[in-house]
Amino acid sequence: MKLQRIDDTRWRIPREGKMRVEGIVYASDAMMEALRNDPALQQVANVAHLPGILRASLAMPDIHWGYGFPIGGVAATDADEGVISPGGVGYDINCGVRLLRTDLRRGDFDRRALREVVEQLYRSIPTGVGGGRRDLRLSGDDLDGVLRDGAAWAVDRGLGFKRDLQALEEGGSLPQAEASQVSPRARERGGSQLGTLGSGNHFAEVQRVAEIYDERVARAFGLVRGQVTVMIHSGSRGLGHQVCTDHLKGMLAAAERHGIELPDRQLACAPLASPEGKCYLAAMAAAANFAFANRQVMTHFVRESFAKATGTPVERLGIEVVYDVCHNIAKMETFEVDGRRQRACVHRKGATRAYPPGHAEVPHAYREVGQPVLIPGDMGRYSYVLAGTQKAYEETFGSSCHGAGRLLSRGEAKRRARGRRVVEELAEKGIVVMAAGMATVAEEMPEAYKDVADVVDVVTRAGIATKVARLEPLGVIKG
Amino acid sequence: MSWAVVEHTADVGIEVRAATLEALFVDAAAGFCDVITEVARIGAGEERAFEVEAAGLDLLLVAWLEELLFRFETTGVLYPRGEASVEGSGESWSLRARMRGERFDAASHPLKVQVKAVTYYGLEVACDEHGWRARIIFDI
Repeated sequence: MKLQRIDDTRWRIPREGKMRVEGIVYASDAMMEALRNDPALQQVANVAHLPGILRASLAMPDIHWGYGFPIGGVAATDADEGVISPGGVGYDINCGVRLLRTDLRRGDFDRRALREVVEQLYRSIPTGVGGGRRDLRLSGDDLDGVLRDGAAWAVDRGLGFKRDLQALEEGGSLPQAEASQVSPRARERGGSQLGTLGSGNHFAEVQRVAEIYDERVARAFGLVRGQVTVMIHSGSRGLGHQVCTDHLKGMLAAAERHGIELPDRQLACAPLASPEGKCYLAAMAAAANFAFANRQVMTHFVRESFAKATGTPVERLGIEVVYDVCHNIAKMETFEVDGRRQRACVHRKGATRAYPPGHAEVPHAYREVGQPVLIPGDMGRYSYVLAGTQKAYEETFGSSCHGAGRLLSRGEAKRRARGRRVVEELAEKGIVVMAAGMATVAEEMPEAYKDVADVVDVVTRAGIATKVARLEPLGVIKG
Repeated sequence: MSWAVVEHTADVGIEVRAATLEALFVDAAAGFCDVITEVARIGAGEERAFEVEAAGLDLLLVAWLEELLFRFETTGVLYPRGEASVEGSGESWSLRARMRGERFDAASHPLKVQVKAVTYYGLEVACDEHGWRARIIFDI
C-alpha cells in the first residue's frame, strides 16, 4: 500500500486504478507503523471506489479491519450523483453512545453502595441472548411508532422526559424513516429487543469524571470533576441487523444493474436517487429510530435503577442526558465543499459526528461550545468527552473518532485471559463488572483494546475535536 | 471436526472443509453454532426443516447461515446437526435441510459471542482436489 505523509497526523493513500478520490488516514507514526500491513488500509482505498464520493475516503485513528468499510471510516457521497452503501453503516445501524450526568458524586458511594447500583442495573437492563423485559412488550402499532418516532416514542410513554430529546443527535429521530420498509423478518427478529443492551462490545457503565480539560465547555455540558456519569453503548439490536441483511441482498443486484464496479461485495451500493437507495435510506432511518428509542428506554431503566439502589426519588438524582451520538450511520447533511453548499450522504462507520460551535444542529445549550463527542474506551481505563470543531466540519464532513479500536482479535484476547480472573482484577482496581457471559469479559478485557488516549491525542492534535473531560469506570454491565 | 475459527480483529469467521457440498453446508451450520456456544453441548431434541434459495452457491451459504441466525434469534434454537441437499447451477441454487438442535440455555450453553450478521466479506465457496471448502466472516 502506497502511503504519503501529509503532516503530523495525516497520511494520504494516493488515487490509483479506479479509485475516484484519494484516501486520508488520521494516525500517529506509531499507529501507522502498526497499520502498514493491515487490510484496513486497503479497505480505505476500496471505499474510494464508491460513485459520487466527495473529496476523500477518510479514516479516523481508531481505524481497524472491518468488512467492506474499515471501522473508523467516513465517506460522504454527493446527494444527486452519489450512492448509499449499507456496508458504510454496518449491520448494527445507529450503534451509538449516550452519556448521562447525575447530581451524585463519587464520594456518595462506598464499595457496597456501588455494587448495589451495578446489580440493580444488571437486573433492570436485559443483556446477552434473548428478548426484553416482560413489562415492555410491543404491539405491531407500537413498533410502527418506535420506527417512526424514535426516542420520542419512548418519552411519550413516560420512559423519559421531553427535555431528553433536545440532547440527542437529530433529536433522536431521523425524518426519512418509513416503517413500511422494515420487513416482517426484521420486526420478528428485533421487535422484542427494545430496551436491551445486547452483547459483544456493548455496555452500560457507571463512571466518575476524573479530569476536566476545558472548564468552560465542561460547564456547558454540565460536567464537573468527581461527578458520577453513566454511559450506554448499544444499537438497533436484531431489528437493525436484519434491516441491513435484507437490503444488502437487493443492493448486490442493484449495484450490478447500475453498472457499479466494486472491489468488495460488502461495499454493495445503489444511487441515492434509485428506488433501492431510497428504500434502504428509509429502512435504515427506521432502524436508527429503533436504536434511539432503545437507548432512551435504557436511560429510563438507569434512572429507575439508581432510584431503587439509592432509595432516592428520580427527580432528586439529576440524571440528565448530556448527549447521544450515532457512530454507525448514513445521514443527509449539508456542508461547504470548495466554497459551495453541498448536500451529501455522510457514511460514518465507526465514526462520530463532531459539529462545531455555532452550528444549528448543535443543541441550544451547547451552541457556543460545539457538539459533545462521546468516545468510549475500555472497561479498565477511561472514556473521553470531546467537542466538535470548525476544522472537523471543513476537513472530515464534521466527523471524528468513535472509540479505542480493537488491538487483539477475540480469540487472542481469550488466549491471553486464560488462567486469569479478569473480573477480580478489575475489582481490585475498584471496578465492579457484571456480565451475562464470562467469555465476553475476557474478549473485552482492557488489553484487547488500544489505549483510547492515543486515539484522542491524534484527533485533538489534528484539530478535529477538542478534549473536554476524562471519565473513569466504576462499574460495568455487559452482555 | 471440519471447521475452524478464523481470526479477524473485530469479528470472527469460520473455515469449513468437507468431502461433499451437502456436508459443507451441514458443517457450516455446526461451525456457526460453535461460534455462539460450545457445539458439543447442544442437544438434538428439536427438529426443523429448512428451505433456502439464492442466486449463487456462495450466496446460498450466506442465506443458509442467515436463516439459522434468524431462527436462533426468534426461537432460541441452535441447529448444528442434520442432513442437507443442495441443487442448482449458475444463478439459481437451493438447499433443503432437516436439522436437529436444542434451545439455547445460558445455564448449560456458555455464550461465546452473539452473531449480528453473516457478511459477504472474504466469502469463499470452492472445490479442489481435497473436496469442498468455505470461508465466511460473521459480524459480532
